[in-house]
Amino acid sequence: MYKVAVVGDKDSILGFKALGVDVFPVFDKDEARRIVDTIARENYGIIFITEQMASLIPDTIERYNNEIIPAVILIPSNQGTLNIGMDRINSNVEKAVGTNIL
Amino acid sequence: MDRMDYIQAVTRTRVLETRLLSRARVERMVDAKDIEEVIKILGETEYTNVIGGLTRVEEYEKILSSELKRVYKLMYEITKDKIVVDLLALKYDYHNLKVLVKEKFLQKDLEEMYVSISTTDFQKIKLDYLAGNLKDMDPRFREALEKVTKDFELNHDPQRIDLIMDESYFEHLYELAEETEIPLFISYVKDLIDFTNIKSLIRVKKQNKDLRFLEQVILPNGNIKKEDLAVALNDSTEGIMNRFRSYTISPEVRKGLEAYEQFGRLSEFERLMDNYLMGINKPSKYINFGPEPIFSYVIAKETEIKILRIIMVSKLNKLSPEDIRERLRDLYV
Repeated sequence: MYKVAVVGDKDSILGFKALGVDVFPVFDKDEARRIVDTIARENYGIIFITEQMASLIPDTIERYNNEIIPAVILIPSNQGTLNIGMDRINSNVEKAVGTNIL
Repeated sequence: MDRMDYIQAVTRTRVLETRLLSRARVERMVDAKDIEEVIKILGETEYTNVIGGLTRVEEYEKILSSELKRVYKLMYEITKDKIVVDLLALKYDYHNLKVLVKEKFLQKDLEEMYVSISTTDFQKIKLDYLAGNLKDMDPRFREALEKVTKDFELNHDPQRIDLIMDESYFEHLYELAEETEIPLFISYVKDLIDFTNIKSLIRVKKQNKDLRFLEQVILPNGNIKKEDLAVALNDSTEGIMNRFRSYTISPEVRKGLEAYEQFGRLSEFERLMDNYLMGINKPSKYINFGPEPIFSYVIAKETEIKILRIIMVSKLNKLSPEDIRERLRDLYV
C-alpha cells in the first residue's frame, strides 16, 4: 500500500494529520526540496504540496511530473490559492483530450 | 496553610509582576510588520534570555515553552506549599498521561508530545507504567490509568481515552482546590468546570449526540448542576442563555453564546472565559499575605504566553492587526 504525504508550512497542513495523512512541515525551499526527494523514495504514492512551497521549487516538481509514482499534487495553502494547481490540471486535461474541457 | 509563610514569596512575585508585558508593548507587537519584528520587541523584555538560542522565527514555539518551563520552575522554588502551583501544573500531568497511554497502545514514539512540566517526577510514572508497576504513583493517577486501560481494551475507542482522562483531571483538580481551602482556588476551579460543561453541551448539541453521551462528558463539582445541564440539551441557544442566567459566569456565557449564534464558532466563548478567569484573579494584586498572588502570577504568565502565540501565529499567516486584536485576551497588569 502506498502512503499519502502532505508538505508545506505547518499551519496550513497540520489539519491533515487527523485524516491519517503523514504531515511534513517545512520552512524554506532547501528543506522542501530535501523532504520531497526523501519521501518520494519512501513508498509515498501521492505527495500533496502547498502551492506556496511548490512555487519555490519548480525544478523538483517538474522532475516528478515525468514519473508515474509519486504523483505530486498542488494544493492551496491557508493564504489562498496561486492558481498554479488548477493551471496544471487544465494543462494535463488539454494534453490528455486535446482540448480544455473544464 | 499559613498565610504568613508567603511574605517572602509574594514580595518576589511583586517584582516579577512588573516584568509582565504591558498593554502598550502587546499593542506594538500586534502592529509589527512581521514576526521578526515581534521577536525584536520581545528582546526588550524578560524573554531576552530565552530568545538567544533561536535560529529561525518559525521556532517561536521553543521560546514560549522554555519561558513557561522557567516560570513553573521558579514558582515551585518560591512557594512554600507546592499545591498552589500544582493546581495549574496538573493539566500537564494529565496531558502527559494521555500521551503515555496512546504511546503504549499505538506502539509509537511520541516523545515530542510530552510537556516537561509536572507536579511530580513524570519520568518515574512513565517507567513504572511501562513496567506494569502502578503501586508507587499517586492513587488518582493510578486510578485514571487503570480506568483508561480497561476501557480501551473493551471499547477500542481512542476518544474515550481523552474523555476519561479529562474527567479524572477535573476531579483531581477539584480535590486539590478543596484541600487548599482558599476561596479563589475553589471558585476558579468551579467556574472553569462550568465553562467547560457549557462548552461540551454546545458541542454535543452541534454533533447531534444523544443525552447518554452528554451525561458522560459533563463534569461534576461545578456550580451548575449536572441535571440542569442535561435537560438543556433540547434547548435552543437562546434557551440555554436563559436557563443559566443566575450564575456569576452568566454575562460571559450570554455574550459567548451570542457570538456562537452569529459566527458558529466557540472561539469568542473561549476568549470570554479566559477573560473572566483572569478577572477573578485580579484582586490578588492587593493581597500581601497568602498564596493567591503566586497562583495568579502563573495564570498571568500562561495568558501572556497564549497572547504571544496568537500574535506570532497570526503574523506568520499574515493576519491583519484588527483580526489579531479580536482574538487577544485581557492582561493581568
